[in-house]
Amino acid sequence: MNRRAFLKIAAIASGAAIAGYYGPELLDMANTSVQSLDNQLQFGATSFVTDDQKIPHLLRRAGFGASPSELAYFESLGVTSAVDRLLNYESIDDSGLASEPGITMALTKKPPVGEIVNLVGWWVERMINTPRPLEEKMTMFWHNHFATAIYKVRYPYLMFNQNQLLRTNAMGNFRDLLMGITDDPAMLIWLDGARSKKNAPNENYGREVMEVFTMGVGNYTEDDVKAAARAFTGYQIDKSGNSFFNPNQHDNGMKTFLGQTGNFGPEDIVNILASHPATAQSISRKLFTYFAYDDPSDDTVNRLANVYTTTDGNIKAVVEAILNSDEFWSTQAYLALVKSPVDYLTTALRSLGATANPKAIVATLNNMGQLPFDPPSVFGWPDGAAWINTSTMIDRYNFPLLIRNPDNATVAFEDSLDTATRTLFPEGLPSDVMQVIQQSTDSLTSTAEKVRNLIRLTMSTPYYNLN
Amino acid sequence: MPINVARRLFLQQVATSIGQVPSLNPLSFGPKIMDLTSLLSPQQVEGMKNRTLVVVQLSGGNDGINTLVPYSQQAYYNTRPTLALNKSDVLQLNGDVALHPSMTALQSLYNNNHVAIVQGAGYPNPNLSHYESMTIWQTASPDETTTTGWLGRYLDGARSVDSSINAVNLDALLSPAVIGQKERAMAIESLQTFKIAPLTRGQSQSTSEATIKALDSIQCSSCQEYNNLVTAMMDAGLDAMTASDIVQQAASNYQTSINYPKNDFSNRLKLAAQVVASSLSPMIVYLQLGGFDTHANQKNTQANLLKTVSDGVAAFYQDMDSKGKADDTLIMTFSEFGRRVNENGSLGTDHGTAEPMFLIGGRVSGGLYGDYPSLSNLDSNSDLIHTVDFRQVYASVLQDWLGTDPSQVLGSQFEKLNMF
Repeated sequence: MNRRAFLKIAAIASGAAIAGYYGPELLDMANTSVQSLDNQLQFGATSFVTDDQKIPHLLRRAGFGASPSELAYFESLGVTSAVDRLLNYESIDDSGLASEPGITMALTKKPPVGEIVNLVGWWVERMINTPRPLEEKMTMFWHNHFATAIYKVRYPYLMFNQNQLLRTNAMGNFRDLLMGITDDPAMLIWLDGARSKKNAPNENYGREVMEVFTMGVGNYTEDDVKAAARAFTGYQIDKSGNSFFNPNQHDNGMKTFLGQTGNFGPEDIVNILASHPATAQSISRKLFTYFAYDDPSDDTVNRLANVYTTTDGNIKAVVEAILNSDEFWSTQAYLALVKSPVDYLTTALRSLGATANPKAIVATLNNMGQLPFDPPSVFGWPDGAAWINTSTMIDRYNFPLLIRNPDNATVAFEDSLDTATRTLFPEGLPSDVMQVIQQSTDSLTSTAEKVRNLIRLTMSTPYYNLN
Repeated sequence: MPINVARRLFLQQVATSIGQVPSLNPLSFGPKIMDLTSLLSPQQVEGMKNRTLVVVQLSGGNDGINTLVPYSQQAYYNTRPTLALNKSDVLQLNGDVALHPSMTALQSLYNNNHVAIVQGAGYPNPNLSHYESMTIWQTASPDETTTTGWLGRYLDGARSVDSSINAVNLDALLSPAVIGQKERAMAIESLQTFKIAPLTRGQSQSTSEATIKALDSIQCSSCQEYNNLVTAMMDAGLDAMTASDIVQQAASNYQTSINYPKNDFSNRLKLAAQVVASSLSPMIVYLQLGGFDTHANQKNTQANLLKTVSDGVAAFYQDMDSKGKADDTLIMTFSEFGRRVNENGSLGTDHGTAEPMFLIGGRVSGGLYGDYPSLSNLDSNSDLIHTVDFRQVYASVLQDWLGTDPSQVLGSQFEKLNMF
């Protein structure tokens, strides 16, 4: 039981006792005083980020940082409207973005080589320039969740199509997203669904859909894996790269799955899994961890899982509950995450209004262990401490030298060094840190070098590398 | 393992009788429990320091049955109608088992008694999830969750005796196996990227380093409050700046007459040789090769992968040998599990259990260890029943190669295999 629940019970118990002896007036008084005690304790339990930290915190988590003008705009909206604008992005015009990457938009005899640079470059550019940052942030969340890698799928075209599927359903209904991913051609190759036949079911998708995509381990048996594998048989991919269901290759026999028996097909399994309480828990927990901090309390997860269940798996409702939660705005959440390589790189380019060669972007993300479209396995990327080691820290010290045209910092530097570093860390660095940057920057002669140096050093501080 | 079970029960009784809370269970690896400071004596460290253990993780679940092939059994051909390898193609080691045809390089090392093959390595109640089973092998803790890897715990103990002991993970991200409570391996993704670039042509690398170091030294107090990973961040940065100079220097002096195969895995093994030759002189090198999850079209995929492993490891061994370091080198391979006995309908195999492990080195007593798992007496999921607990192999390596009491690192005692 948490403190709040305990106090509620205490209030009811004491109220009943008081009512019996002293009458209604005193009861009201007692209730009021217990409630105010409740509020006091509640307030004492959580301390919140300061006003100056709020918008930068929000834009780091629900976006990829912000340029000074974007930051000013969101500051002018205030926190409530800022959250609203990020959440309800559908109406924001994003026609300025390239809708398609420069890749072969068809299945060819042999998968095209080298297009990964265009594909990654296209997505990273969206993250940097989109007026709907939460859309890309959520697309990245689902890419990591339904982690599919080009090293096995091989066709950039199919990876692009899957990416669009994730984007379109990013804030929709989880069941629809899961159904979409179940017959997604890239996924059918990645987890061998396209090869799973009536007389020879392949267990790969049947297992991972439960372990990674929905409930998590501990909620199913090896027999459930086999039953799911049978229910998913029948998918194939045609020459144009579209998937279709071939009833002749589907196992029409009875299957017992999670205690239910029937002639289950893919939709039945997807429905059972999407509405399973364990799925509500695992998706809620993972979303919270993505936006707020690690190891949320059971109370927090239960509250979000309840939102998931009552909205029939509405993803946007869960994200909205997270962004409006006390936990999200608490000091416990502030800078509590480590910037992933993608966050590290996109935040810099977006904040600075800068560019980088797509090849340099791909090489950097690859060296840092997070190349989009190429996660290491179906479990996606690790996070937190995993992003920190001797190899990735050197990458973090060196990437700033590959940044081109950091106009926002150059302009800000005309005002002051402090203003310039605030393009990357809006709250401002402490004075002792600023002194080192000042001294080092003063030793250089050209403005371009000074700007480059201040960017590199700011991006080398833990302040920038936390999120 | 009878020894393990008996000891475990005994310890549980002790814990219960003196009223210890569960978190004080001596078998738990929680942060408060493991005191590994007495893992090694300084003399032991001195004797072992020039040795290197190279762990090769085969990610995805390597099909052990088509790696160490039970070519003499009819059951093998019955269960693998399309995947069974021809009796005339496999590389026979004796009348019972053979290596996959693409492992000729490893076969010749085997014939020279430099390869120990542990048949049927696994653990009780096998887990068929990639993630869970890989974690079990990396933490050596099938029954309890722990945040430390088995080599990380060794590092904790060894570095508390001698802080110059190093471990290197040749990858962008660290394997959980090499992360301890306090200590962790260094990561090196590639030689090309492992150096601080100077700000401009005019500025020296050391000027850049000095500035970043200056930043590092003052940040601790002011931003640590936000995140307990800040210290790790700064430590990794400082270690990287020192280590990159050392490794770059060693690499530029490095010469070899051995032709490493041209692929990423062998490039990393060559980097391993360069790092071993540097003054970092790591006791542990860790690297991985992925792609073994052969649910479909296994034949060519696995043949290529096993060739990559076999040729790469053999080249590395020969390189070490040519420098007089064969006796100081031990290579050990493992995968998170083997694969199902019966092939599936996609010309592949699904997740399974027991697998062979390979240990290669000058001091290794070559041969087969443990029994080959039965192809007919299977577990309830129609999977192989392991014949050797993989922790017996770890115990052997910890005691006979890394010179320590394995029970401290593994939490309980396992019967060793005498492979050295």
